[in-house]
Parts: sequence; structure tokens; C-alpha cells
Amino acid sequence: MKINQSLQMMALTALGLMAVACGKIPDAYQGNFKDVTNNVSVTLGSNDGSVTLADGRKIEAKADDGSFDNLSKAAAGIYIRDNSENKNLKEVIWLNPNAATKQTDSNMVWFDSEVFFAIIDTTVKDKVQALEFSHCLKGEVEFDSGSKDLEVGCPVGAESIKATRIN
Amino acid sequence: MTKSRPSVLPYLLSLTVATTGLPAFADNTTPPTRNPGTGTRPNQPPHPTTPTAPTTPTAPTTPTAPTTPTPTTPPAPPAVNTAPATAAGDQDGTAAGAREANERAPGDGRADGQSEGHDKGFEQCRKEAADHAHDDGFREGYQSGQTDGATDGTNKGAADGQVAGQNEGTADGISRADTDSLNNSAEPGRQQGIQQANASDAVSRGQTDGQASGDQDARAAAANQDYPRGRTDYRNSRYNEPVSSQDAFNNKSPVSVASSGITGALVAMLKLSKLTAFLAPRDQVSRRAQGPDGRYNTITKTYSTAAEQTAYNQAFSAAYGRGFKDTYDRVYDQAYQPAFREGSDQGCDQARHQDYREDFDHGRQEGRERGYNEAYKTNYDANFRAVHDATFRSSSDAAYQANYQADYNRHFEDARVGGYNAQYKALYDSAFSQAHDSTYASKYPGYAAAAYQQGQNDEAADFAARPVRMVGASPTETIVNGVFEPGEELRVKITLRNFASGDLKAQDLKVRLEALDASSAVITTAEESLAQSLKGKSVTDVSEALSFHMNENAVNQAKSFKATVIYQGRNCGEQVFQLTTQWMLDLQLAEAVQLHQGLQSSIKVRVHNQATTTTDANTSVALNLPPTLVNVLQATAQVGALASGADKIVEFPVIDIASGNDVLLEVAATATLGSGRRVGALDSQQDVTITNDYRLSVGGEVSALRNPGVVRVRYSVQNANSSLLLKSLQLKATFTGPNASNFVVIGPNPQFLSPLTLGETTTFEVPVLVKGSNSGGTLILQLSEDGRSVLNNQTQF
Repeated sequence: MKINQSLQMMALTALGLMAVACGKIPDAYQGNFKDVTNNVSVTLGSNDGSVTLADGRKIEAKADDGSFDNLSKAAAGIYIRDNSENKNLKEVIWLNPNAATKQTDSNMVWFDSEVFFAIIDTTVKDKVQALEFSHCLKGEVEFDSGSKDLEVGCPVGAESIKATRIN
Repeated sequence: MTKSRPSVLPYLLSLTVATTGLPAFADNTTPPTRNPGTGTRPNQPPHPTTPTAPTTPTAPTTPTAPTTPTPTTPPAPPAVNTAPATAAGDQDGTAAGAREANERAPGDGRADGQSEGHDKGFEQCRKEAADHAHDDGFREGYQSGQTDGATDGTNKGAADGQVAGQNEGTADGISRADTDSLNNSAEPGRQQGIQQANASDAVSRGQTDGQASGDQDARAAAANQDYPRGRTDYRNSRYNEPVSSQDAFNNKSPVSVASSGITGALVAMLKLSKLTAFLAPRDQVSRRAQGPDGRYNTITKTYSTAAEQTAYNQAFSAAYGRGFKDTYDRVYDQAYQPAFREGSDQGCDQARHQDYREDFDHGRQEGRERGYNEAYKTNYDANFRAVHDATFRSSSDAAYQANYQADYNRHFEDARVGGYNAQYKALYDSAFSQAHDSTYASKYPGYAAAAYQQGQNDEAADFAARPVRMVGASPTETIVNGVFEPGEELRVKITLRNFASGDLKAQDLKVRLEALDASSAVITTAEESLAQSLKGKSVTDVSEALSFHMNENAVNQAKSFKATVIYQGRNCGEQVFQLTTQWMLDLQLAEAVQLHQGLQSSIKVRVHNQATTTTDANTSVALNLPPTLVNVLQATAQVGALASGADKIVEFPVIDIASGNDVLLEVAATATLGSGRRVGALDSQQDVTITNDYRLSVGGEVSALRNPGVVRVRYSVQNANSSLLLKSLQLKATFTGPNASNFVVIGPNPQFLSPLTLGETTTFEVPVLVKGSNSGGTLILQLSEDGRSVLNNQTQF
């Protein structure tokens, strides 16, 4: 169950990776990817994508805009922000929170969440050959509801996942 | 460059999940359905590979995967042939667009052509008229300038020529008079001087002075050469006398070798701008349409089915813009061209009626300046030269006559004096030299013999008064290991020679020691009497004399000392000796100190035995570092028995508690033997760069932690050196000190932080509940990179 979920999350994150600039998936990231070992296929279009898992289930995702409010509600989603050091990089954070764990104290809000994290380069022109991201089931989200400063991270031992292009 | 991450997320992408078993987002409570078997949404267009078969739309297929979610949208409507509606929409839309274009394009083209033609015609004709006016003015001004320039040049040239001719002519005459008079007076003057010198007292004075000088030099030579030779010869004869006895004794008891416990102590622009300003507004108001305004984009035709109506509407809208553009451009151009020509003619006519007086005046001024300058220069030059030449010659001749005689007299006197002095000196020197040499030769032998004898007599008297001499002095150890260590008691071995026939009593003899660099040593016994008398005609080695020890500031430096022997209160000779102080164990940093904030590292010290003996088994090195910068986990390291000439590296585990990039670190180490005797020291100042993969700084008023309430401790973490990607960070906050239980971290502790790329910085906070007022403590922020400890920051408050 854990492996299947991880593969699903990997596919979802891959879809999220593509939906960066104005909701469009860059050309470099479009195409078909496959995890041969786990028999997972990923197809990415210009504005959406799908993943077919080993057990036949298929996952689809589409880009859409959102706001900080969703995060305040411990809502799931893919959050994208600029890398503070390199404007060409985007940090993609996919969250699948456990809303029941949400706590608030002195403007600080925190809750447990499954976390995927990836960094993509928006200047890449050639087709990317691999997508790499980290994943943990029991990550943590915390933010200051006043300043809206946010931190999301994983405990020790987060997984490192890699999917490769087939065409 | 670093900057904080944006605090507000710019995007949120929502996901739709169509499978079971996968956690859906909380706000996607109704997942979209898909067509069983194909996975396409019901309202999606047919597959791209079948676009040419509109009459055979894709039919929904029977679901084949019963485990997939049940579609929640209505079934697709029956297929309708929309091709006729599409064709009709295309035709009607094209006609409607063309209608709008036919209404708008003629007016737009005429207006734009008229406006743009006017601008271009006006500018072209305006420039032609302005140029013509300028040229007319130039011609008129040029003629006027030529007349005035010729008159002014003639007058000014003549005046300037007159003045220049006079000045230059006068200077020429003065110069010629000086040169001629000098040439004519030199030889007569010199001859007169020579004759006067020959009649002077040069010879007699030379002889008198030469004799006196010869006698004086002979006396000096005897005193400077023969007198000291006499003393030296006598002294040598005494030293060459045979020694009757060779003795030795210790002036005091030697110190035991095993003794220890010794311890020690670092313009066209304007036209262009006007034109630009004039044309700019017209350029910006072109009426050429960028697209239809849609005035006839109105659907009037209706269909019985929604599909046909939609097809017609879409085709109509798409064709409207195309119909408009095709017609508009053609009609616009047809109207534009004639309007442009008409506007150009109107603009040109308007330009020709402008006032160009300013251009005429400008041309006239330019012409006048050029005409004036050309005529002035030609006439000036011609008149200047003519008047100048006529004035020059007469002025030169007058000046010559006025100055010649005075110049002659002056030059004659100079030549006479020169001739006199040269001749006088020659006569004097010759007479002086002969008298000096003859006098010196006759007087010197007598003076030399007397001086030599006096030297011998004086030296003999000195030996009688001071019969003992120091012939050698050298330092000796009390800890015999081949090195003069700081703090070690050192003594002097002195060699004395008694030239007298009889014994010299011990109580009449003293030895004295002086450090030429007073800061280098402490003289513990600066003067003492001999312990024994010196036998007649003897050479005696006096060991264990005097006493001193070297200071640590003299380590590895050569220092000089002077030993003196005194007989009956008279200095009888001295010797200067040098010694270089060394530690038994030389301590050096084995490698540059590297510190990592909050992390353990080591400082390595190389120990080298410089002595001739082996250290004892309990020899150790102790490290001392500023406790406010570095925490030394183990301050003492064992060296053990280290053979002569051998090296050993000892390590000290330390943890840096200083923050920032660089610190100036005072590194001190001491080596001691098992007996506790200090035998080595290191005192080094190191500029150490604190290197960590991450840097952490705490900002804000941390001192607020002394007061009760919630305090938000802001911190920034920067990835300074880690190139590992996608590694989450964990930050744990703890407090130490007597009030540690007074602080409670609000929220998760440790906090999990997302990975940072190289150079990236993130800023966040640790909210802390302070239960009550307190006297402060230490906040420790420990940062790990996926479990690997990378930094430990301590902040006092």
C-alpha cells in the first residue's frame, strides 16, 4: 500500500511540476515517462497529464490557480513558489495534509502532511530525461497566520524518487 | 546574494484524482468523471487522429472497468450534422465583417493619408526654404566681413610689427656686444693675472707651510702606527710566555642533572526635438484599425438544435474578423494614397509661407565671420613683417654701441682674476710638496722609534697593574639535554690567565655577567668572587660561575652576554658570548585550524623533541583556547616518551561556539614532563574561517526572552556550502541555564524546513512561551540536514 501510494504521489507531483508558468507545462517536461521497475506510466501534455499505475488505476491532473487560504484550511494541493536565490527555479510542494492534526497557538498553525518536494528549472529547453523529487508520509507544515511565513519539511529519512523519460 | 523566500504562495494548482485509495484534496469533494474505456471527458472533442470525419463523432463506449467511479454527468446528446450550419456561419460572418470594413476603411484611410502627407510635405518644403534663406544671408555677410577684416588686419599688423621689431632688435644688439667683448678681453686679462702672480709670495708661503705639514704628519704616523705596534708586540710576548700550570675548578657546586620543577611564564538637437514634438502626436493617432469593433457581429439566424446553433455561431464569429481584415486593408490603402498626396501639397504650401528671417540672419552671421577672418589674417601678416624688419636693424645697432665697452671691462677683470689664481696655486703647490716630503723623511724615523718604545712601556705597566685576562667564556646547562631552555638555570664557564709570577688571591678576583638585551634574561648571580686563587703563570678554567636563566620571549633567538673579570677593582678584560634559547619540545600547529559552528572538529599540534634526551612517559600537552569562542572537549593529550629528534602529532577535540564567518583565535598550548616541568609552549594567533554547510543567524530582540509572554525568535538559515539536493532540514530549539524550565517552544520542535538550494536563504521563527521573568540563559538552535548535524548555534540572552 505504501509503495502504490508513493507511486501515485510521484505521478501527481510530476503533473504538478509541469504546471508552472501560467498553468502551462513547459515543452521540456512534456512527453511520456515510465518507471519500468514499478510499471508506472506518466503522460504529460501542455496543460494536464495522467499517470497509469501498475494496478490499472489512472490519475489525472490539471493546472488551476489558488490562494493561501487553501493552505490555512489544511487543504491538499500543489503549491509553487519562487526559489529565493535563482529566479529561474521554482519550488514545487505537493501537500496531502492530515487536517485532523491541525493545531493553532499564538498565530502559529501547524499540521502533519504527506509532502512531495521538487525543484524545476524553467529555462530548460531540451527535453528533461528525469524528474526527481523527495517524499515523506509524515512531513510537517507550519506557518505564521500573521506574517504568512511558511515552512514545510520532512523528518529524517525522506525518500528520493526518480522517473525517466521514454519518449 | 540571498533573499528570503516569499511569504505568500503565488500559485496553487488543484488536482483531480480519479482513483480510489488515493487521498483526495479536501476541497475537491466532487471528482470529475471520465468516459469509461477511453478516459476522455464527455464534452471533449474527438481524438485528434479523426478530425476529418465530422459526421462520425466518437460514441460513448461501454464501461469496461467496473471499479472506476460512476460518471456523475448526463449522457451525451445524439449526434447532429452541423456542417451546413458551419458553412452558413462562415459565409454570413465574412459578409458582415466586410460590411464593417467598407464603412470604416475609406474614412480611416483618408484621414491618415491627409495627416501623414501634410506632415511630410510641410517638413520637406520648410527645410528647402530655410536652406535658401540661410545661403542668401551668408553671401551678404561674407562681403561685409572681408572689407572690415582687411582694414583691421592692416592697422593691427603694422602696430604689432613696430613693437616686436624694437624689442627683438634691442635684445640682439645686447647679445652681440656681450659676445664680442668677451672674445676680445679674455686673453689680455689672463696674461696680466699671470704676471701679477709670478711677482707674489706664492713660493715662499708654499715652502713654509710644507715644512710644518711634513713634521706634523710624521708625528701623527708614529702615534697611530708605531705606538700601538709597540703595545701589541709587548702583549704578544707576554701571551707567548710559557704557562706554568693548567688548572680548573668550579666556582660553585654543579646543579644535579635530574633537578626539575623549574617553571616559567604574546544645437541641431533643438531642431530635432521641435520636429519630433510636432510629429509625435500625429504618429500616435493613426486611425488604421487593429481589428473590427463588431458592429455587425450579431447573430440573426436561428437553428432548431443547439449543436447547429453553436456551430453556426462559432463559424460566424471566426469568419467575421477574417472578412473584416481582408476588406479593410484593401479599401484603406485605396483611400490613403490620394489623401496623402493632397495633404503633402497643402503642407508644402503652408511651409513656404513661413518666416525664415532667423535662418537668413544666422547665415549672414556665419558669412561675416568667415569673410572677416580670412581678410584680417592676410593683411595682418603682410604688414607685420614689413614694419618689423625695418625697425629691427636700427634698434640692434643702437643697443650694441651702448653696451660694448662696459661689457669689455667686466670680462677683462674676470679673466685677470682667473689667470692670477691659477698661477698662484701652481707655484704654491709645487713649493709646498717639496718642503713637506723632505721634512717628513727627515723627521719620521726618530718619532717612530720613540713612539714604539712608549707603547712597550705602557703595555708593560698595564700588565703589572692588571695581571689577569679573561681568554674565554661560554654558557653551560644545569639540565644537560643539549638545549638552553627558558627558565633553566644556566651558568658560565670562564677561562682566566694569570700573567704574574705569583699567585693572585681569590678575594681580589671577581667575575661579572651582563645581558646585552636586558629583557632576554634574568641574571640571578651577576657578580661573584672566585672560589680559589689563581696560581702564577697559570691558565685556569672556572666552571659553574655566575647564574642566570633565559626568558620565554627569547625563545629561538640568539642573545648576547658580556662576562668581565675584575682584579682589585680594575677591569681586566671581558668576553662576549651568544646563546640561543629553545624549548625542549617544539610545539607547532600541525595544520590550519578549521572550525565548524556547533560541530566537533580537532586542533592538531605537532610535538618535536629538540633535545638530546628522551622525554619521560608522562609527558603531555595541554591546549588552552578562549572559552567564549571554542569549547575544548579534552584539553590534555599524552605525548609519552618521545625520543631525541622525533615528532608526534596530538589532537584536541573542540567545538566552535562562535558565530559569524571569521574569528581571531588565540591558540595556546603547553608541554610538561611528568614532573610538572614545562618543556614546551605554543602561543599562536590564528585568523580562522568558520566553515559550515549552513549558516544560521538569530535576529530581533532575543533579550525579550527575559520577560514573560510569547516571544517570536526570528532566525535565518542559508545554505552556504551544501550541494546536496532535496534534503529536508530539521531545526531543534533548546534552552540551557538555570531558567531552562521557564521556556516552552510553541508548535513542533524540531521544526521541519524544506530543502535549500546552494546560496538560498529562508527565514522563519520559533515561538517561545516564557513563563516568567528571568535573568537570561542560552538558546541553542541545532540544525540537521536529513539527520546529519550541520550547525549548532548558541545565543545568550
